[in-house]
Amino acid sequence: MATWKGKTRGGLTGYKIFVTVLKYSGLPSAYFLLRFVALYFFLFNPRSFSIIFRFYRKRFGYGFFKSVLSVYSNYYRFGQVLLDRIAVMAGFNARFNFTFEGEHYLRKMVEDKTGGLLISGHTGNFEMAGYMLERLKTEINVIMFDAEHEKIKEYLSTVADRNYRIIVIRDDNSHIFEINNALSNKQIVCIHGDRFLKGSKKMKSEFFGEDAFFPTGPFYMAMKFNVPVSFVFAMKEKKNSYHFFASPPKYYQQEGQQSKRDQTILKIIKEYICEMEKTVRKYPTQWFNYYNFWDKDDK
Amino acid sequence: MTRENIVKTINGLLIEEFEIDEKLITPEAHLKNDLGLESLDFVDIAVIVQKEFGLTLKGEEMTSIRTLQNLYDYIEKCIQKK
Repeated sequence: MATWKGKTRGGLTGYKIFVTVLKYSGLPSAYFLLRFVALYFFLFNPRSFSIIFRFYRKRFGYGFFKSVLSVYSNYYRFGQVLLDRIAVMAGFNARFNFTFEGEHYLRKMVEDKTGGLLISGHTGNFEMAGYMLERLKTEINVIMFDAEHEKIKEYLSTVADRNYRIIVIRDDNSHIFEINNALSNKQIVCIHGDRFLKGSKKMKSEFFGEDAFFPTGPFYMAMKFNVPVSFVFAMKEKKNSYHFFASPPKYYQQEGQQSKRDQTILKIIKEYICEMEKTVRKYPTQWFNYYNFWDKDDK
Repeated sequence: MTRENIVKTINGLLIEEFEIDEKLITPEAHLKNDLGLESLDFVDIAVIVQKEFGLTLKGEEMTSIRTLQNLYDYIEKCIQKK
């Protein structure tokens, strides 16, 4: 079964080096250094290489060489996204331009005091969205797994601040009550809709032409919490610019009894997939799920 | 709202919505291990408790709730505090 293990690659020393470069030389120097680090991963991480290579070959139908080049571009892009995030969080001298599409939908959630559930994915820069949403002047909650390396977390917390609240996904499901609490207080909650850990409930749906599993939790909450739901993505464009996209918000309601809930969840998942596929097709180098995402790929 | 009403509402939810066998519903029943509640079911619990009792359960306090008895007690305590 294709699942995400909950950890992102990269060692503490690597983070320290990049933070030092960012602090004293700025983003362009860090991007330059990143070229070599991306090359290292490109050459010496065969498992991840084959997964992303297959993604370009099978999902985009790229030829061999274009797929190889796209793997490198993907790694480089991923590194840029991480560096941008640290630069913004730490308040280093990095200026970004943000463009917004559908921001008025989110403003309306704030003005109407409805709160809202924003579902995103591991494409583009989810955490940057948290910063971009600061201008909504409301409390933003971001739901995250808490399986990153402790030392990296500790280190990043010493150099960088977040302007949004993190709700950690926990085995005891207490995060569900925290999410409900935030939504009851008419706040904005951002959650990923594309990853799940082993043992989580999931549903199969077609994505890029083949079946893939998606977590049911975010979509079930979308159906149950009776708040407007929007699919959002923050995508890196040229050097220092990001484009934020939000789909028109919708209210979802369970159709029929509890036993029919799966039909409604699947309907929401399909709508989410449609938006995510459109986004990934537009920004092919910003697909950051480095594990076998498609059911067949794992067999 | 009496303790009896709390028990009746919660048990009703478990029987009607989650189709749990009535015989399994005892105060000592573990929510996950005995009643087989999954993460999605906790979403329903959050919604029903809010709707029926006007309570928004707090995540940090829910971490200690393991059994039905714990849940009844917690809801009762929250109602008394209101």
